[in-house]
Amino acid sequence: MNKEIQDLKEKVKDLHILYCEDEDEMRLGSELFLNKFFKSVDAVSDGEKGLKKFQENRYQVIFTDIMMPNMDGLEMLKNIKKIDENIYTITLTASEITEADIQETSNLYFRKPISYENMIIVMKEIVHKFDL
Amino acid sequence: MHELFYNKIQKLNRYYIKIFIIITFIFIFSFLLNFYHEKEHHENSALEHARNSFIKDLMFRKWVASHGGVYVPITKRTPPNPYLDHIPNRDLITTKGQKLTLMNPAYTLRQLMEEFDGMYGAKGHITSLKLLNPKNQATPWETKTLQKFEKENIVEYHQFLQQENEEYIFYMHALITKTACLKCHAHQGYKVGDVRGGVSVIIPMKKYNDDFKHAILIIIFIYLLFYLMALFALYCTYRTLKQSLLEQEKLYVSNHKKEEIMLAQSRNAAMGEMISMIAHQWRQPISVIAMWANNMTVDIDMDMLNEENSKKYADNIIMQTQHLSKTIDDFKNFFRPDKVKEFELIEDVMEDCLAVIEKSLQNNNIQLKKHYNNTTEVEIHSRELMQVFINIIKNAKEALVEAKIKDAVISLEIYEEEKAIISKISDNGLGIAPDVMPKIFDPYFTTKGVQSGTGLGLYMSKTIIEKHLHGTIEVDNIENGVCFTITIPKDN
Repeated sequence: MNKEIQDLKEKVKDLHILYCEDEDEMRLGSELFLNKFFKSVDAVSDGEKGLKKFQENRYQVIFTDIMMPNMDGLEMLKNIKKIDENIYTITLTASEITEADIQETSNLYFRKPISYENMIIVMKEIVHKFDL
Repeated sequence: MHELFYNKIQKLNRYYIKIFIIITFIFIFSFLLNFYHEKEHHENSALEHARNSFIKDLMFRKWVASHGGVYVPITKRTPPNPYLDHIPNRDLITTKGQKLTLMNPAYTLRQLMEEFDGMYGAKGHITSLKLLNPKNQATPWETKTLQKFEKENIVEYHQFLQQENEEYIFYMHALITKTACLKCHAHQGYKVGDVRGGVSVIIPMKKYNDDFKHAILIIIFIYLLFYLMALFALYCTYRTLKQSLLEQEKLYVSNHKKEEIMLAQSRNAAMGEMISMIAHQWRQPISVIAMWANNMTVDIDMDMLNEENSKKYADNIIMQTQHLSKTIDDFKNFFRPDKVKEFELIEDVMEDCLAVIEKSLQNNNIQLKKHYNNTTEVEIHSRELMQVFINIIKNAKEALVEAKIKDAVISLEIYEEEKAIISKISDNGLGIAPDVMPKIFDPYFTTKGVQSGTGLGLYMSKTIIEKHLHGTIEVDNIENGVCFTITIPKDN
């Protein structure tokens, strides 16, 4: 049992999470991982569905891929930010994208593959952001 | 030296050796012709000289014969001719007591010949096989010739012979018995028309031979001059031709090297492209692997590890490695050496190409539209054609990404016509600027800046399509976009 990890889990578990990823395998694995920290994780397969989910429910944190069919991650985030300016956004992508492109829409940005250490950093940042 | 040019120069050499032999042969032949012509001319001159000498003797003899001989005062030099004993009035005494004796044609001529021997270079001798005067005894050559006259019924004969290291013309003309001859020779049984003797003329050939040598020397000089001129001209043209061949070879080799360098550069660029495409292909599976591993780590950290979940994570990781392995096979396929042409469907080549590049299109949100309508296999270097497809699709992708097109689409259309298979690759990027359009197939031309473009992609594509597959590649701006049309003939 790792005390630090356990502490993190305790702090973030009540947050509502939206996760957008078009690759099934990736979504499955990541959803499982996120579920170990958060009680409520909604996973969708493209930006359009993500935006729809967001309009229906309230979330504090969004994890999203960028390249997705129908609506890409950046556009979805832009639309979501219009609804909730304080939403905390984390972009995880495989595409070669510059920081300038995502600065506006993303609070955190990681390139896939994402290491365990980086996932822990994400959790810590969330704790820090929401002052938990 | 390159084999092609080595053969060309060998051919040139053989050609010039042939010309050289022919020219030499013509010169020698022509010279010999001239030589014999000149020799004949000089021999004829000598013969003419001998003949003239004979005719003069004959005229003289005729003149004497026409008078029935002439009477001359008897002197020590001209005693009465004992062989004319049988003739009445051989010797006469004039009323004033002057003693005269008859000189017949033979006698006069012999005296003339003896006394003026060699005066004109010609030495005459009158002779017969049946002699009145033994002094007129025929030489062996004359005897032989007189016998020849009798046997062969000819009146004239000549030969060039060596005598004491000098060449002479030996000429002989038959004397035919005429009425006037009978005065002296009737008692020998001569009849009119008989060949009863001859006059031989011997002329030294030295003067003629000297003239001949002189003429030949001039001919040799002229021939040599022209021969050398011909050889010089031959040499000059040979050198010019050889030099131009060597020049061509240099150009060929440097062009060849340039092409090799370009090929190597484009191959390097293609390799770079491949690595970038592998990166695209692998990014997703390794991300998934990382995530399953993260799950396992977090389970350990949270004391949630159990066998069932661990097995699930491992199975998922294994599944992803299968995917990675397949990707490597796809790329290995692309780098497979492509020495032999094989019959293949163009759309199969396109699908192989897509296996490599499709992920990179997906990652850039580019939609693919495929429309295949072809059943004919063509004989091609499939890897090369694949390189062309990848080049064009990659260019389209880059154009679409750069222009930030919303609903980016690349359309692939393959269909067959009577004699060719047509492949069209079009995009809905912004098209090619008109000033750039004429240059896109030029080597080292790029609009992408030093880092991403070598400027060889389309140049090599054109080379592959035109030179290796004997087809054509064309580019047109269509409504918001570009369309590349590749035509590959069915009977390649």
